[in-house]
Amino acid sequence: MRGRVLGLVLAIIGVVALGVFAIDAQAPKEVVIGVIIPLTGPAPGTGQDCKVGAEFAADMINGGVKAAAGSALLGADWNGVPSLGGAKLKLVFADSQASPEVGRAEAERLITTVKPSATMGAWHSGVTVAIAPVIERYRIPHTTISTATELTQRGFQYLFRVGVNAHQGGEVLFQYLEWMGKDGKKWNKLGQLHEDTAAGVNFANAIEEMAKARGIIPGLRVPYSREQANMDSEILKLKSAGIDVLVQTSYTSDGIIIRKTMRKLDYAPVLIFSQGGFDDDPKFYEAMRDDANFGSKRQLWSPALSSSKPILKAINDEFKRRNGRDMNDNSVRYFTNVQVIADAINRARSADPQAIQKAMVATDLKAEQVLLVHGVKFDDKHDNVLAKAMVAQILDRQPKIVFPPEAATAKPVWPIPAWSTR
Amino acid sequence: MTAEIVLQSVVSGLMFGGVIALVAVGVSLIWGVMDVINFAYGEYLMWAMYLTFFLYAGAGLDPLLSLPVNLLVLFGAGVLTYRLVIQRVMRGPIFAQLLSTFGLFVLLRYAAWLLFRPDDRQSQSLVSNGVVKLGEIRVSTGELVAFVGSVLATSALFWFLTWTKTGKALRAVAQDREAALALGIEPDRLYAIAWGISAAAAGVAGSLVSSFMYVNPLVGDVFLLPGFAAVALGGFGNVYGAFAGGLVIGIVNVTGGTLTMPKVKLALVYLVFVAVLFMRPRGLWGR
Repeated sequence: MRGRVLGLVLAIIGVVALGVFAIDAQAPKEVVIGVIIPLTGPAPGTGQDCKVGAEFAADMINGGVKAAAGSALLGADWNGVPSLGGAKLKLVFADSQASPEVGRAEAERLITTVKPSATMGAWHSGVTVAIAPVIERYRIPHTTISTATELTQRGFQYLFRVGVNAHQGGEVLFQYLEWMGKDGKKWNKLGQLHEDTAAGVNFANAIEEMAKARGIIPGLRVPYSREQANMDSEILKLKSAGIDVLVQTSYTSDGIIIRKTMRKLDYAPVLIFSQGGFDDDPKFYEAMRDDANFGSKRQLWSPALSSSKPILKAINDEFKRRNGRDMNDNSVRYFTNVQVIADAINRARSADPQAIQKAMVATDLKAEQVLLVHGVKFDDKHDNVLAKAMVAQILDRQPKIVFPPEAATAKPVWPIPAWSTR
Repeated sequence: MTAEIVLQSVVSGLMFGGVIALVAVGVSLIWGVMDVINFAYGEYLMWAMYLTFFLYAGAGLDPLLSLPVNLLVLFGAGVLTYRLVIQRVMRGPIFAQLLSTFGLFVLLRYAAWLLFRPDDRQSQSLVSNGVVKLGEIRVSTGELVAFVGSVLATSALFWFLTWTKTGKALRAVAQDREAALALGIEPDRLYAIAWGISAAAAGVAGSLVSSFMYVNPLVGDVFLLPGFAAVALGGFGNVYGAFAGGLVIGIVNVTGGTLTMPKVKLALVYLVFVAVLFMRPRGLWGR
């Protein structure tokens, strides 16, 4: 009798133990990542660039990009996430329509229906600000390239900024001005023209702060609301104030109207510096043609950097073969977003969002492991302490790196030529 | 701030005001004839811009050349709106009339959102990128053509209202519906024509602005809100006053923004709007 009871107990223990091990051994076949980007709305070209960049990275990590094989790029030789038995990354996209309200609703819908292990987005800082509390509430680790400083000032534990913040992006402008000053290039007044959502306001605040820290008195600042047919008063105000170094934050449609108005009103400052936005969108170049030239922008990548990072050319060539165009800042940043998430999943050895968040805090990727010009390492606010930018000038309708000199692929044109000569 | 900059801002304001004036005339016509405020007017303009864009994208038609198409299609849309919606609520309380045009606004806006997505779409015209210099003053060819087009369209409307039998009948109905009925003028047919003409004006405006403005489902607000301010300024029911009001609003928008801060230019427009309503509720030339 005692033997039978003991045998029964041992059998029960054995069955339970087998079940436990079976559960542990059952790694997921795929890991779902949500991507919230503006696939429609005022910047669909931008959203499409982000989408193809993310898809390209996911395909590489899932083993589908042979061009990356053998390189130092994180995920180049993977065939799915190694620590999860080769689980494939699956991207699920949600369209923010560039609207904070829609972005927030889509983030909530994505998280509650698809149940992603991680998310990324939303490109527009105003939308990212709106979705941050949602991802925090649901405790989903989230990577972003949005620059608004406030994103990492509110104590969010689950939001991680992979790219530059407003200060890091603006820092390169002042370095560039100092460098040009050594070359004898003069200027008088720095002013700003910016759209009035989080991206524009945060960058303008950062520029003002950094200017004052360098003893530069910031000049006129002209915020504007989008959805306008006429921007004459904005440009006349800047022209009247004698602003000759103009810092601009605009999205595509307003960027087009502004550039056309500058031509109409014959306003050509010596330097236009943009933090990216309108001048990352192919539609701007399509609409403006040669009038797109000579503006400068914060730049985070260039295929020309392949001289120091040879894999960039191979990767860009493969991307171009698939998509018919070079990678740009947007596709590269979203490529890197996917790499950061995949790295965290791999180190966490889990698809559980909380485990991934813990792993993401300890991210330490070197520049050679990602496509961006810098690596990825987060401080206690989850900003990327390694993030830095370059300056590109639009020449022949393409961004060409002009600063820093060691990365330059073209000589800067200073001042911007008068409209009458173009 | 030099005199040249101020003068430039006035000219730029006038150019912009021309389009606002055409919008205001369309709104004012309906108010003048039927005492109905058409909240959906901006959405007619938006749909006209989409028609212009698709003719450009699909058939390569310059936005200015799509003007006759817009005029005819939107005239038909206006008549249809009257027959299907407005005619039925005309006998109801004024609240029903207001709600019906508001409902139309919602329907037209979100139908566009569903069908066309919220992407910005831009047509290109032969006149999109040129600049005309008048001494030191500069205007874009797109805006100049839009201004001239608005003046011509409004002049044609004025001629129609003043010199044609139908136009005179419209004015008679606007002045006194009962008296007009007694004289054998049938208001119902004239109301349909008024809606058609009003929508056609939006169609013309849609073609004209498409050479320099992108279209998305929200673009109607850019022109309608200043248009309402122009109607209030010029006088409800007075199409001549509405035209003048549009030019004034355009100048207040651009010159006011240049002299103060561009961010407050819309606030200046509404300040003028509120001030006029306060001091002279019927508007400067209102009946």
